[in-house]
Amino acid sequence: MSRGSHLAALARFAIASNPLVLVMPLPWLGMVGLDYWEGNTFRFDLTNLWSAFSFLMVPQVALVLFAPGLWSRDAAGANPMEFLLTRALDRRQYFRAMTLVYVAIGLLPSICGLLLALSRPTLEVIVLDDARMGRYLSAFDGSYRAAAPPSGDYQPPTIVIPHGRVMVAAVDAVNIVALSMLVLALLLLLMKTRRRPLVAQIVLMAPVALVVIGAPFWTLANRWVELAAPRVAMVAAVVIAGAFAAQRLYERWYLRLEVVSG
Amino acid sequence: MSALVETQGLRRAFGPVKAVDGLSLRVEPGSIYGFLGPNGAGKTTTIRILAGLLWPDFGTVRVNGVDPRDFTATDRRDVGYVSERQTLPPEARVDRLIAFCADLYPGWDPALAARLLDRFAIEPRTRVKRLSHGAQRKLGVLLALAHRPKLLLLDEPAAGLDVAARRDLLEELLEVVRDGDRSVFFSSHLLSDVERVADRVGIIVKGRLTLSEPLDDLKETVKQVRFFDFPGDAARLEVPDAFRLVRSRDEALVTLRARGDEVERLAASHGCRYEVHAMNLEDIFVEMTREPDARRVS
Repeated sequence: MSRGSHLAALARFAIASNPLVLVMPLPWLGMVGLDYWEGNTFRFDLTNLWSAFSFLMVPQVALVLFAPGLWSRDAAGANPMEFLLTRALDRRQYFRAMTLVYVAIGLLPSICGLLLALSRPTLEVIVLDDARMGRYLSAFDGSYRAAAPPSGDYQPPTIVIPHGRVMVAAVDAVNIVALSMLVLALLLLLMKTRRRPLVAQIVLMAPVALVVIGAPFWTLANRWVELAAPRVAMVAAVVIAGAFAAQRLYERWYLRLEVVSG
Repeated sequence: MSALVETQGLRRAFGPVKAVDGLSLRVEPGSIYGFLGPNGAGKTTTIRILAGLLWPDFGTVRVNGVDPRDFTATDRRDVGYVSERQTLPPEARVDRLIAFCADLYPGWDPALAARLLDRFAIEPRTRVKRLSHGAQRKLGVLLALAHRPKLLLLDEPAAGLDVAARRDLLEELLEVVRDGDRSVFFSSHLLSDVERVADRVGIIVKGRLTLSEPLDDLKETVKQVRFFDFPGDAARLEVPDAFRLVRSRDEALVTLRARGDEVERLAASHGCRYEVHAMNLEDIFVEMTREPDARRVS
C-alpha cells in the first residue's frame, strides 16, 4: 500500500471508528448559519460569539480521536487505542492521519463561515469607543465611518470594513488551527503523565472554557482580531508553519507514548 | 536457534508496586509457552511490554530480535496480539474491520479469516458494539491469527469464551505452531487449557519468574508423596526444598521436585514407606504459588 493510500485508509478508519466526530461540528455549523442570517453587523467589537464557542469543539474532537481511553474508558479499564497500536501500522502515519482528520473537522465550521463571508464580504462594526474607532480606521485599509441615515434616525457610530467579514472569518480559521495544536500538545502531555481520565478532561477543558466564557468580553481577543485581520495572509502562513513544526514534535512524543489501561 | 522472545532483568513498577521484577525468559520458535501466575503477579504487564504498549524501567527485551519500543509496521506484521481487556473499535463493522486489517498485512490469509468467521459464528455485517463480549473476543483472536504471525501474544485469550469456542481456539493455536517456526506466548487462568496445548510453562509470582521449563519435565519431576509407616515420629521429617510439607505424627504429605530415585532414597533414609500421587498442572501451580508461611504445616 502506498504511503498516501495508507494515510487515507487510516483517516477513513479513524472516522469510521469514531463517527461521533462527524456529528460534533453540526451545532457550530448551525451557529455559522445563524450568524450569516443575522446580517453583517458585529456589535461593539470584532469578535463574534460563535467563533468563541467553536473553540469548545476542539478539545472534544481531540479526546475522541486521540484519547478515546480518556473519553470513554470503560469500567474494566480497557484502552481502545490498544487495538490499533498493536496492528501493523506505522504509528507516525497513524498520528498524521489522525491530525489531518482532527484539524479538518475543527476547521469545518470556519471554512463554511469563510465561504459564506465571501458571498457577503462587507462588515459593519458598531464602535462606541472613539479610541477604538480610530484604531479600526487606521488598521483596515479602505474602512470608513458609515454615514448617518437620510431619515435622521439615530444610528450608533458604525465603521464599515470592505472584506472585513472575510478577514475575520480567516482569523477564526487561523485561531482554530493554533488552538488545535495547543490542545493536542496539552492532551499528549496529559497522556504521558498518566493522569486519571477525569482529571485529564478537566485540565483539558478548563482553559478552553475560560476562553469561551471570557472571549466576548475580552479586550485581548478583540485586539488580536484587530491586529491579525488586516494581515491575515501573513498570520496564516506563520500559524501553518508553526502547526507543521508542532506536528513533527508531537509525532516524536506520540511514538514514545505508552498505552496505559486500567 | 535465536529466541523469538528474550528478556533480561526486566523491571517495571507502577508507583510503589513492582509489577515485574527482574524477569528473564526465552521463548523458542515453534513452542507454545503458557505464562501462569496468580492475579497481580505481572503477567499482563509482561505481555504488554512484549507487545510494545508499555516500556520497561530496566532490563532488555527483544521480540523477534527487535526492542518492541522500536517496532516498525513491518516488525508488527510478525506479531499477533490479543489483550486481556481488548476494546475493538465499537462503531466499526466486522467486515470493514477485517478488510482494514487485511490491508495492513501482506500475509493475511483470507481463507483462514473466512473459516474462523464461520467457525466462531460471527455475522460480518454486524457492528462490533452489537457483538456479545465472547464474540468480540473471538473476533479479536481472528484478527490476531489471520495474518499468520511468527509470534502470538495472548493475554487470557479464552476469558469469556464458551467451551466450544475455547476448544476451537486451542485447536487454532496448535495449528499456528504446526509449521515449526511460529510461537505462542499466552497467559491463562484456565490451567486445563494450558496443560492441553503448552509445551513449556513459566510461573511468575510477585513479578519474579519462579519457574520456566518444559511442561513434561515439570509434570515428571514435581510430585506429591505420602510418607507413612515411620519408625518414629513423622513430624521429624525435613525436606528443605519441598514446595509443601504437611506433617502429622503418623505421616507426612510432601510436594517436592525429585528426579530418578530421590524419593526412594528419602524414604529409605527415614525408614518409612511412600506412595506417589499424580499431579496435574493445576495442583502443581497451586503448590508452587503458595505463600511461604503456608508451606510448612504440622
